[in-house]
Amino acid sequence: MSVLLCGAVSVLVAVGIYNVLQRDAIRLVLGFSLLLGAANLFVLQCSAFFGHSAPYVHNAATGTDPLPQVLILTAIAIGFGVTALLIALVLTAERRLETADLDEISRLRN
Amino acid sequence: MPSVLPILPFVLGLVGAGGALVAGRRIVALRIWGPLPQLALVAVLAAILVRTFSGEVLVHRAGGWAPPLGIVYAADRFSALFGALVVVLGSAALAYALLEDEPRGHHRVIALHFLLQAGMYGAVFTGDLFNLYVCFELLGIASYGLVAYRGTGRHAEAALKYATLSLIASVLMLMGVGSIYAQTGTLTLAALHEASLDPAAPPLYLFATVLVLVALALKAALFPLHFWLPDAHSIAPTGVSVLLSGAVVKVGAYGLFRVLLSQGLWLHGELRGVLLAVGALTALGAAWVAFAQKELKRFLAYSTASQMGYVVASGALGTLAGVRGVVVYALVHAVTKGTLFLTAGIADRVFGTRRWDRMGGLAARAPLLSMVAFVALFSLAGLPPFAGFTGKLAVFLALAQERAYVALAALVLASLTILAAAGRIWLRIAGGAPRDDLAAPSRGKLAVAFALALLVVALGLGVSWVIEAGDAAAAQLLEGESYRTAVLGTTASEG
Repeated sequence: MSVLLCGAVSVLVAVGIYNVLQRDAIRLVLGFSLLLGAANLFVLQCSAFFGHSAPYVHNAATGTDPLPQVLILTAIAIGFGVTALLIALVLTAERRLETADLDEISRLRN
Repeated sequence: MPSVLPILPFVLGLVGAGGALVAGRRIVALRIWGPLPQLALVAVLAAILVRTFSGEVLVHRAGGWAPPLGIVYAADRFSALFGALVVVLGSAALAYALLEDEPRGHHRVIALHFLLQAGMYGAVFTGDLFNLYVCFELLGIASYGLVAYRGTGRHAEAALKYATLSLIASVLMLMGVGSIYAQTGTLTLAALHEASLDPAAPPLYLFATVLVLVALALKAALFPLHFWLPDAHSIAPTGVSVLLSGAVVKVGAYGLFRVLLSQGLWLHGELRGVLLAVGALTALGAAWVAFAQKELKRFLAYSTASQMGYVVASGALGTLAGVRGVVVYALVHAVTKGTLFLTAGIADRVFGTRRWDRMGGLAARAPLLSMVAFVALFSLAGLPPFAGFTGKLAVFLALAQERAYVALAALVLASLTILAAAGRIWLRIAGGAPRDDLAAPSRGKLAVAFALALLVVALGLGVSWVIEAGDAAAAQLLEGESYRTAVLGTTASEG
């Protein structure tokens, strides 16, 4: 399991970074949602495998730690808000400058 | 000492944001509602200052949950001084924003101002690493909105750049926080001290902490990670620049040193050289770039980056004098830069241009404004009797004490560069023949800038008082025991 998660995190990070580095602003936003997802998986993996049963089962000795899952839930909510805001920014820039190409946006901003 | 005070500023900020939205488009309702929560904030922060400086550490456990699971809010002198910094600039920025004529959506701007303040109070008073991340996100979201709300392509581009780089920092920080939790089983800053001193601490612990520190360095605009700052800070509307340049980067530096210094000193030792070099490079490089700027606000933005270098170089020493330098310099520079951005905003309207080399004749047309500009510019350059002198004195003393002569030389050179630039700019703006085409400065806004300028002079004249306060804060932070006992309570002494 752990190996699979490691693999998933690294693939997500790689694809995310690749997309963030593209000139298309929409792909920048998509890249960020991948990176945020990768960070969440990473946090999950950091502590999900220290126990064997769901945290709400009354067996404290083997229950997994609920705290990282709470952290992830919060991070997902934050990530959602930030992604929505980024899309709004990209759309505004695109509507005003009539391009979603980041190099063009930098050139046209004045 | 259990007290609800540490979390109160955060809650009041959120209340202010909600209230501004309820007040809606009615400008009168907004002008009545806006200052009310702000006054409450000033009162609360004053109470926190008084109680922390009488030796208490105020602790609030959110929802009554004890540290390993619950989130703790704590106020010691270090955080109280940074909280005071935020409330001073927050009030000035809010007053300026309320006086501004916004064509539409004024209430949303005010709401975002409160939200940004709430995020900063949260970051300053939280005692929990993950909550620190959440608060940085909150203040980030509010500040992207504030940079972009004018809605032109230029604003959207600056906000997009700012948001992109902040998000990279957020992802790094989230990973670092998760990794620290996996290795220590706690996110309470006070408990991390013990975990980091454990000889069996996993080697990855350093790596995880460095991830968090890099993220915070990006928020504080340190040298290789500073390039988002000039655009965001110079393009944002004036009231927002005041907050971004005066307070937000300081809160980043606060987080950096809170996380770093709450760890055991071995971690600190390994990073000292790096931070010192980063600080000196930031100060010198940004000062040189600032010298070349023709736009007044861009000059101010680059000089902010430069000043953050002083803060970090001083804190990197980790001595009592060094940490004192952090507190004093942050405080002094915040007030100075707030005044400068307000002045730049007013001058912008008076001259109808953002470029300082096209301004002139201010001394004859608006003597009060040019006086405020004089105080603020030369405080930035570090001349006595203004506040900037207090800050530079504290930082230079700390560096000299530790014999960090290379860094000291770099900072002195940076100061001279800024002094030359400030002198050049003031002579150009104030001097010259009086021109008739100038608009009269808005009285309300001028009053706000004047009040901050008075504070600049006061902080400069009260050198010894300011340095003593910094000493008390630094001593408490470095000693750390009183903070840890207060936060962890009896459970700590058992374990």
